[in-house]
Amino acid sequence: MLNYILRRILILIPLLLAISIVVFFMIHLIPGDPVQIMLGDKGSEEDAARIRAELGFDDPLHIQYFKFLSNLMKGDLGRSIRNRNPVISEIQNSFPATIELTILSMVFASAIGIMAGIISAIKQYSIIDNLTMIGALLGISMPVFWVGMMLMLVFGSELGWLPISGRISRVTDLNVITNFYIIDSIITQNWAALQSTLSHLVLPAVTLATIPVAMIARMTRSTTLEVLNQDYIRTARAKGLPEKTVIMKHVLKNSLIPVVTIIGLQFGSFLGGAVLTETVFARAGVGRLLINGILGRDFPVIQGAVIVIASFFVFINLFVDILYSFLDPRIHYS
Amino acid sequence: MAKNSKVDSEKKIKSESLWTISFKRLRKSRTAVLGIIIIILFTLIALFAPYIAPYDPLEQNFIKSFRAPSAEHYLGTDEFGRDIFSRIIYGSRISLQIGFVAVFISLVVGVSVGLAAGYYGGWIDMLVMRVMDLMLSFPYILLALVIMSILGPGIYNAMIAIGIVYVPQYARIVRSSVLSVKKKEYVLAARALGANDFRIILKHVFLNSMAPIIIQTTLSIGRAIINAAGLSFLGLGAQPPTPEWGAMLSNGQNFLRNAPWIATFPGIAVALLVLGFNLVGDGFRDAFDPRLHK
Repeated sequence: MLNYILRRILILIPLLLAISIVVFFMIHLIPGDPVQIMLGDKGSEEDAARIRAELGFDDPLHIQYFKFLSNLMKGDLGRSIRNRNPVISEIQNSFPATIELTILSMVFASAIGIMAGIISAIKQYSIIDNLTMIGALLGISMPVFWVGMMLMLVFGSELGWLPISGRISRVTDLNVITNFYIIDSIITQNWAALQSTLSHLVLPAVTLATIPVAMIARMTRSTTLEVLNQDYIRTARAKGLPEKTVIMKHVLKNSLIPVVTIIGLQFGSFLGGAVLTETVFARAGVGRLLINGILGRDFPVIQGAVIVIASFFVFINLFVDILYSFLDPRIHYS
Repeated sequence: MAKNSKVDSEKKIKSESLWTISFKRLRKSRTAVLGIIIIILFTLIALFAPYIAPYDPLEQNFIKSFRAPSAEHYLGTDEFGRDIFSRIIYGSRISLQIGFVAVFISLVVGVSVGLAAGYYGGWIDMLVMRVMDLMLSFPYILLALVIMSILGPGIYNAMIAIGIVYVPQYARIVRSSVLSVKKKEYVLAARALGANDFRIILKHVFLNSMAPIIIQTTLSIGRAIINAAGLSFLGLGAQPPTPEWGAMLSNGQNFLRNAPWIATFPGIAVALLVLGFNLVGDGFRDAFDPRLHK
């Protein structure tokens, strides 16, 4: 087991290097002169020369890459071309917002998805089952950002129950320490801020959960159905166990193992969906940072945001793989 | 009498291929048929858009801006007084085109790459599959965004970006089916009979991976349509004044409070069309699953 985990961690190194190469070369794959494209029509000759020097474009390509890599190791991702801020501090400010959103959304999607999937499977072909499966199908067919807008329209504009944009209400004071507003408000025992942060998270988290919740419900239903047909379930029933025990002890433990993988795999869709959700709800997350970077052709920002999101995704996948090997003792890794 | 029984026995031994059974099952699935109807409907709307749309999708009329849905404008008008119903009708052309072109790109590239990797093995396989793994280590939308930031905004670039994103899935499907077929006796026999690589790949390997490819293609078209709408929503795909659904949604968000119809109906259009492809995809998956055959 330990061997397996170590090997999985070792595989990460070439993968992360490959990601850094892709991100590095992005800028060189742009058709035309990247500096001119980044500056647009407004840039002067001096600006162009300064950026060229800053990005080290005068060096040979392999030297540029090694400089990029060694800076990356030191946590230096360059400066934004637009507002001159260090990219790393932009990411430090925005990444916690994205993490808060994705984790809350993931918890929500897993809870609802697993519950819906199990009920559907136990009551196969009932009205509940049909409605759940239709709902799940709609969930994967609707554009996330449109769901967000409709939620905003109903719960924000019409009913006025929940805030529709930002991370926290403007009138709430919060002593920002970690940039994770939930953690900060708990540390400082600022309950008004906690309430405001959570209420700002509800609609985006539900929006972001639409696709994953549908996928998790479908997967849970099919794995639960598979387990329900196994001989050991018939045995459990035959020996007179109450149905509740059969479901909780025998069915769930076995049917949820593949669901863990699906939840892990969905993390990519959480991170991708966060880009759209943050745009709809005007949340200052790393997804929004990336889009603003792309729209403003601010390549250092794009590179920084891509590296952070992709590496995070890779680490999550590793974590899921390891978790999976703990959950399923039948799997032997050699 | 004897003649009759001969006919009967001929009927009984008439063999049915997996394809025949699968398509029969697909026809019987009500949800799959519904999906097919939705897709055909949207295709007809796209083809005959100029005849169906009551107004020019680009025509501006400021006197009529922000009109709520009515008998005159079935789905209302936007801030420029453009008819939303007509814009959605024309939008179906763009969305279907993106869906098909993007998936065609991933199909052609993915299948060729997968065939080459699986059939030739060795360093080609190694290299190709590592590149595919690398692509899969990015979340889909992120990879599309990386490609878009290199290519720059625009609807054709969005097609290319989405097309590239789905390449690894096809490559993996085809490669694994090549690997499973390659060592089979009938491929050896075909080779012994003098069939060349091209013929073996086409007749034995490719046809064997058709079922997963068809399922993947149907589902991918739906996803490509949603993702393209997403890129346009972010301002990277179709540019104004193109009547593209995602771009219409992005514009509609500005007027969500006072003119909610601008953002509501294009979203319903996307969801319906994608639902059609998902229903058919699910139908194919069930139809091709031999475990479900009775």
